[in-house]
Amino acid sequence: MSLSPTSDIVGASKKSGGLIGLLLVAVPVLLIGWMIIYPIIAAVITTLWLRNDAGAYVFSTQTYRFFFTDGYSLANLGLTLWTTVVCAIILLVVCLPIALYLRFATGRLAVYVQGLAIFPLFVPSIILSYAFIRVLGPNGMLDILLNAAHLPKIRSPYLTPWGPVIGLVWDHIPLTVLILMAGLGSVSDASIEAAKDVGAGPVTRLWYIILPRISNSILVAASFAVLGIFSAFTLPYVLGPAAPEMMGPFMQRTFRDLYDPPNAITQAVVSFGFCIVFGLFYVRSVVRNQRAR
Amino acid sequence: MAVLDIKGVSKFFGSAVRAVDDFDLTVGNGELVCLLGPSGSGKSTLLRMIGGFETPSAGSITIDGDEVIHLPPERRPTGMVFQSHALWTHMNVFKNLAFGLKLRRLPADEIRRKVEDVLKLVGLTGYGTRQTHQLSGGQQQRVALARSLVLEPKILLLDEPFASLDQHLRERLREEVRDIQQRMGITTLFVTHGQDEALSMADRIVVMRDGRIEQVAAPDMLYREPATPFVAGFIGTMNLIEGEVKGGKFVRASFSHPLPIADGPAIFAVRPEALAIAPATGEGAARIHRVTDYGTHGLVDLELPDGTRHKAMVSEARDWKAGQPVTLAPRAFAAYRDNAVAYRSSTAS
Amino acid sequence: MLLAYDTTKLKPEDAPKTWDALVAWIKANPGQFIYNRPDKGGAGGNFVRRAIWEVNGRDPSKFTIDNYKEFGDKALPPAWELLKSLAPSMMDQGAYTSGNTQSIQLLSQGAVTMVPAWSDQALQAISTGVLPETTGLVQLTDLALAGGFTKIGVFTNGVNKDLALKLCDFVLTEEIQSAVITELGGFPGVSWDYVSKELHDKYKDVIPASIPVFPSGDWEKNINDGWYRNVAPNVDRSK
Ligand SMILES: Nc1ncnc2c1ncn2[C@@H]1O[C@H](COP(=O)(O)OP(=O)(O)OP(=O)(O)O)[C@@H](O)[C@H]1O
Ligand SMILES: [Mg+2]
Repeated sequence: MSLSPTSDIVGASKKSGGLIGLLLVAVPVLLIGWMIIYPIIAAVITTLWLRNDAGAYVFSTQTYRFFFTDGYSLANLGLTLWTTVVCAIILLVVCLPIALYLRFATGRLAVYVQGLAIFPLFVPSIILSYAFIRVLGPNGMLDILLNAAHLPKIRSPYLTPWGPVIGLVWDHIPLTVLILMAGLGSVSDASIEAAKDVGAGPVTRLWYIILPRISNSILVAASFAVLGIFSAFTLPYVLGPAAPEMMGPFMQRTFRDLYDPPNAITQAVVSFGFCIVFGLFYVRSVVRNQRAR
Repeated sequence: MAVLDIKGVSKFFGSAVRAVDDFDLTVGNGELVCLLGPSGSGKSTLLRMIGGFETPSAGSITIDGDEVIHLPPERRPTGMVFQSHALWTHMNVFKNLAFGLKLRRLPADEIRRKVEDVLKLVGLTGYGTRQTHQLSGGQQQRVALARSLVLEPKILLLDEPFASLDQHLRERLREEVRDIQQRMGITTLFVTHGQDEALSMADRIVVMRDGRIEQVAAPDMLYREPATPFVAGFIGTMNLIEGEVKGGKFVRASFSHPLPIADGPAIFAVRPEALAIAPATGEGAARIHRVTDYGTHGLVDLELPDGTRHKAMVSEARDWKAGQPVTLAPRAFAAYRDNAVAYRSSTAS
Repeated sequence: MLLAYDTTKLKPEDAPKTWDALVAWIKANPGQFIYNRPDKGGAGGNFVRRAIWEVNGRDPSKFTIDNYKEFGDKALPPAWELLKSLAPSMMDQGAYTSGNTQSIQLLSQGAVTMVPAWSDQALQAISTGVLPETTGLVQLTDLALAGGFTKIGVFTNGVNKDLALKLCDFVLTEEIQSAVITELGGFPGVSWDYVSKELHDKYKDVIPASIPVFPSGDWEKNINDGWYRNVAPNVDRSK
């Protein structure tokens, strides 16, 4: 599928001696090693070898034990997982129809819809946050409109867990729509018309023809959303409740306000652990997909 | 099995494009009709309207007397085979073929039987468990054909199904399709822009141009008696010489030939094989520009003094040389005026 | 540090001028007050510190930069109780903004009636129209909200000591001291003698008798974390 370019590179290298292929991948692999793998290992080491009172470094799982027995930390982790799952579900529910519409619609309106769907990509989170307060915050634009229509005010999602959810969903719509559209691009018109021809109605076509063809894209979109949301900072920081807080603000606060690097890094390692689970899901599906081909 | 009746069908895209323009055609029971025409002449558009993928701007389409225009594709008794990329790549061959049958809620063993029958029909017995990407291009198009056939449609629509295949495969597959179509007696519309394909398969050929019918005829008639200069030029090779008729004589530059029609402009049409040439002693009517040797015969490019080129077939290429002056003697010919036949010599071929 | 409020909803003469009056007003007007998380901006941070002083005899001198170890466990828990008792009367039954700016935005949208704010930020917001002209400012008179100073230090052995002192003289002129109020929205940290009478009268409601300062050191980290663990959660916001 369109989002697994590595397969081609690896495939090509097998045929043409491999050395050029190896050189081509060496740079990104080294960069990943230096900027991602090494910090991860360093982080794990820092949190497991702690300095004791005598000044010596000893192995200790103390920061992890603290994290997993501390109700406050667990509540933060729970909120993060909840936000991530809810956002991912809402994103797919919102973006799939948009992507389907953009794939199959023709004409002027589709161009505008596409522009609108991509627009959040160009809006920095911090601007989005304040716009959110103005529109959905207490006495915001929505309340003013409701009031004009003699309807009661809404219970504003600002400073509740739904605040970050709405902001993050909005923020991730462009990427999700783009990934899903890339997947839908590989579904040919003819294959869908052929399905119509043998008698498949709209729902059957979606379920048996379109969705199976883009299952990989859906997984990629979900993984990207999950990874982006799990570690989100600005939107949860500005729009979310004081407590529980998402891991992003929690880590930042632990590090910067509490001057507590070991616990902040522990929180980061725990977050990383969850993200890698999603990552493995994605890798597994890509591999399985390639084997099927 | 079924009769397809198309009456006054038009399709406009926007205000400028008349893809299909007031089209009438009746396809008889079990008949195979080829739609032939240059690119953009509206063949696919017409086929897609019959299959339900486009809505006509005007006109009616009936199958066995039932109006189908307001039915979506999934409710029409038609089966369409697309040019390419139409197989469902996430399903194996069996599932591709069984999908439509499952939608019709047939029992599993009947589905299995039907799929196996149709696989045998298209010569792919035992290929059911293959993934689509494990098939060659020709096999893929056979599966696409089988997918339509297995549902036993009343009307089979094929839109250049072999266009992406090489010459050999195309020839073999069109014979197979012709066989299957005749064995099943299925009413078929076949779009192509290859005249060989049309001439070798069709019961009748519809030549289209700019969304309109130029001529409908059996293949042999189409070749022998093209109704318009366009058809004449499109089917086979034809020398179309534009000139004037004056006093019962057609004249173009140094070429002239008796033509018993009223004075005025005319197009003189003669096929290369009906144009005899002989060495001229003086200037002659034309000069040989080039000689091509095909072994079995030769093709001579002729140039009239005004620079226009025409072709003549000769039995022995080595008898002729470039630069040689020749006289022209049409054995059989036709003349067109106002886009219609004005005269046809009795032995027109 | 002072309190900014909406004079269309709260008349200046009714504005609370002591901590007790403020607490009484907050409880009498649920949902009309919000302060930001103490680590996310000085406004909320100093409001929380004012609460800590309040439950410790209103005596800033008890807190020094190095006495958290012996005094912290005694000083902070009562303050958490006090702040927790305020939570249900906050906007949305215990919401806390994540910055000074958001509090001011909520005040400007009329979502709340009063927020603690930095004097400079509030005055600037009024002068740029972010907050309406009808915004009132008030300072607590029993003990001011904690504030912060901007200092100029001069090295006794500095190479350009004379020039530096000249700069200090310049900063102490009436022109600059007035500008601190009118342009920057701060308060003269030195003496009100350096500003004109009209300016003094205009801001007399917000002039603190003195500007108390809360020490940082270990206090900072423990106030921040303590607030997050004790005050921010444990509220039922579903009502
Ligand atoms: N969706 C469309 N929108 C606008 N114009 C179209 C559309 N589909 C077809 N046309 C136009 O209609 C005309 C007929 O197109 P059509 O595809 O039927 O031609 P065709 O005979 O099948 O050509 P080809 O041999 O190249 O397949 C062309 O001029 C084409 O540009
Ligand atoms: Mg076509």
